[in-house]
Amino acid sequence: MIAALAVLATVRASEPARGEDDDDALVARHRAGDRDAFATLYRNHAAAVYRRLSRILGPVPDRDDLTQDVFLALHRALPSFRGEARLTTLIHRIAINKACEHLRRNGRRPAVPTDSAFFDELLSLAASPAERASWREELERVFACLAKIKPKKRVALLLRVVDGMSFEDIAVLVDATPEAVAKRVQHGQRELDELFARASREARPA
Amino acid sequence: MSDDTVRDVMRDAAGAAERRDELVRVALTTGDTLDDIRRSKIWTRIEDRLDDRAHTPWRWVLAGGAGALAIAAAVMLLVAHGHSVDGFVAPADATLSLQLGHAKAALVGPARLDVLEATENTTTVALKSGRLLGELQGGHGRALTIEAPGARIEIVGTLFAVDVSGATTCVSVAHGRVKMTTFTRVLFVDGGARACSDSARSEAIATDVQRALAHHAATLALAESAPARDPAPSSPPAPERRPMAAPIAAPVPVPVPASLPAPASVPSASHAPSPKHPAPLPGAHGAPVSPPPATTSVSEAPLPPIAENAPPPAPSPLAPPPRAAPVPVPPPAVVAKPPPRPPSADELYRSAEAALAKRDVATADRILATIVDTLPTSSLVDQALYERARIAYDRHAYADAQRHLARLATLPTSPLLEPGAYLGCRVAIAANASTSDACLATYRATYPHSPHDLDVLGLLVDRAFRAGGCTRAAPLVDELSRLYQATTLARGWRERCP
Repeated sequence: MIAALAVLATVRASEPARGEDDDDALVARHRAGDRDAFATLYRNHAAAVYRRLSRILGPVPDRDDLTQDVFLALHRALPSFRGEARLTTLIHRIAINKACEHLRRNGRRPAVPTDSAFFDELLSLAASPAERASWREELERVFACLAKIKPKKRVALLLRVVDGMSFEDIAVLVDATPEAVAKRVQHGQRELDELFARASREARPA
Repeated sequence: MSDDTVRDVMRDAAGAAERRDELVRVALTTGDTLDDIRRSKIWTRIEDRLDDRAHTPWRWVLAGGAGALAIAAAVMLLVAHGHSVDGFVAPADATLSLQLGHAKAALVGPARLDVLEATENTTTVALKSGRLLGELQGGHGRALTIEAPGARIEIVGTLFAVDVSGATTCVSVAHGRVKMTTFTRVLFVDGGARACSDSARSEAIATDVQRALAHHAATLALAESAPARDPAPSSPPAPERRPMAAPIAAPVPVPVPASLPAPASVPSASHAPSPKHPAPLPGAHGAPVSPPPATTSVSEAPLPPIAENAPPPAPSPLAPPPRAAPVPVPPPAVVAKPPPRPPSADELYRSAEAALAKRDVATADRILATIVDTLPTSSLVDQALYERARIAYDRHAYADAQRHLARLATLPTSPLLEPGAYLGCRVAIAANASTSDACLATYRATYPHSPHDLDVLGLLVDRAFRAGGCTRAAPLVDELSRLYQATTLARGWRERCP
């Protein structure tokens, strides 16, 4: 229990100070029937939810729908929200669950971006067409390899690698122990290394 | 293995892991920001769904019931017909041209027709509602069967009209003979007569049906005669046609304006009479003829089977003599082309998005302007105005951007009012307007919970620092550190102005 509270405190301290009191007040107003309160909650957290989904799923077009689903789920969850954890934690938990559902639903299809805008944004500094093509291939390989890792492992790995979160923080979000998260991350890294190595071997001309 | 080698291997491994992590980071953090437009769109959809939920608590029950009914209906339809069904729906004020086997038909909206079966010579359709006009070119084994409420109509070669209104079906025959089977009897409806499924009496074809049939015949004739008017040197002569419009009676002749051209579709008198193409009857080529007496046109079974291309009945002795008056046939109208629907705001907005994705900013701006100007009540006007302002901002047309934002600000409610106000401040800063600081301060006061608050505060700090160094920026840096202590921006300013 003390450990769990310590973890919550860590998560709390790592976030910007603004928002905590606001969130509590907004939740209270929402419960009192103020419709604008939920709109404000959405406005405050939509970008973070979208970012969280993007950083787990990649640039898939379903992110808009999933963001919508996250806030509808939040709307359903708020009446029973007792305020033991921060609202941000609840929202990110919901987002991670939605992302996991999406990954399970879509099997292991890689979320390779099809629109050139993604690569344009990413590779705008690359000088030559050859460099761009090489980067593009490499990124496609990243998405293909990530798609082969199971959702739970993938989520833990990406929260660790992309967001630089501690095992404790991840454990709070994915509802697991820090030890379990550490194992998932470790296994995920190993799998990713093997997949990268295999993909590189296959890509190399014989 | 020496210590150096082990170190090299470990360094390589660490380097590979770092590179792997860097690749993953780059791949997943690119394009992860939610812009204001998208945020607004998602909110609109959330609001809609929340409203739906609030207003229809029993929607799942209703949806389940409706779904079950739809499945039951589909199963019944499949069981009843045993095959797939193609449907045609003609909306109100539209006429749909159809080729039903060998019949050239027109479905006059509002109407619905399903094709139940179609072979080389025979076609079976179900007319659910509305009017079907048709002309079946007779031939060996050819037939068109129309299933309609309370009646089954079999046609082997004639010009006819079938009207379905509720549970009643009426058939009008211009020439030839049509077999109509109701629940209680079998009728043979002859040319010039009309019979309905709910009445034992027959009557003359109604004037509006006559006109519609004449219209249909003229349209078909015009379509067929078009190549004949401008024949290619090697093209074969146009096929002969029966004088379709000729027997259609017009008890109340419609005055035709002198300017109305005589339809080119009326077959010429040079057609030699033949059993298949009988000589024109009195009234042919437009001369109105009274319909034969109703008693002679509808007969009860048993009757001899329908002869293929049954000749039209002999002219009534009561019919007036032929007149040289022009054919009272209305000019052929445009068939099967309902007026083109103007694109909706949603379609326009999607086009604009597609143009933006292709970096065709000028086209996108033009389409967005169309939404704003022609669909001012659309729910997408705010998004169009905001996008236009952003486009103008990107091409440094600050006056245009301000104009669009000023219009956006006049809208009563929009989730884009707040992003619009923020963009307005950015435009003011870019245009070096003296009101920039006031704009930013007002924005913060108006939208204290804005997701742009950090950016706005950062801008204020930066501007204060430029104007008067750390002394002037200090209160704002304090506020930045207090509100957003964990951010890089706050830490950076704290280091610069401790």
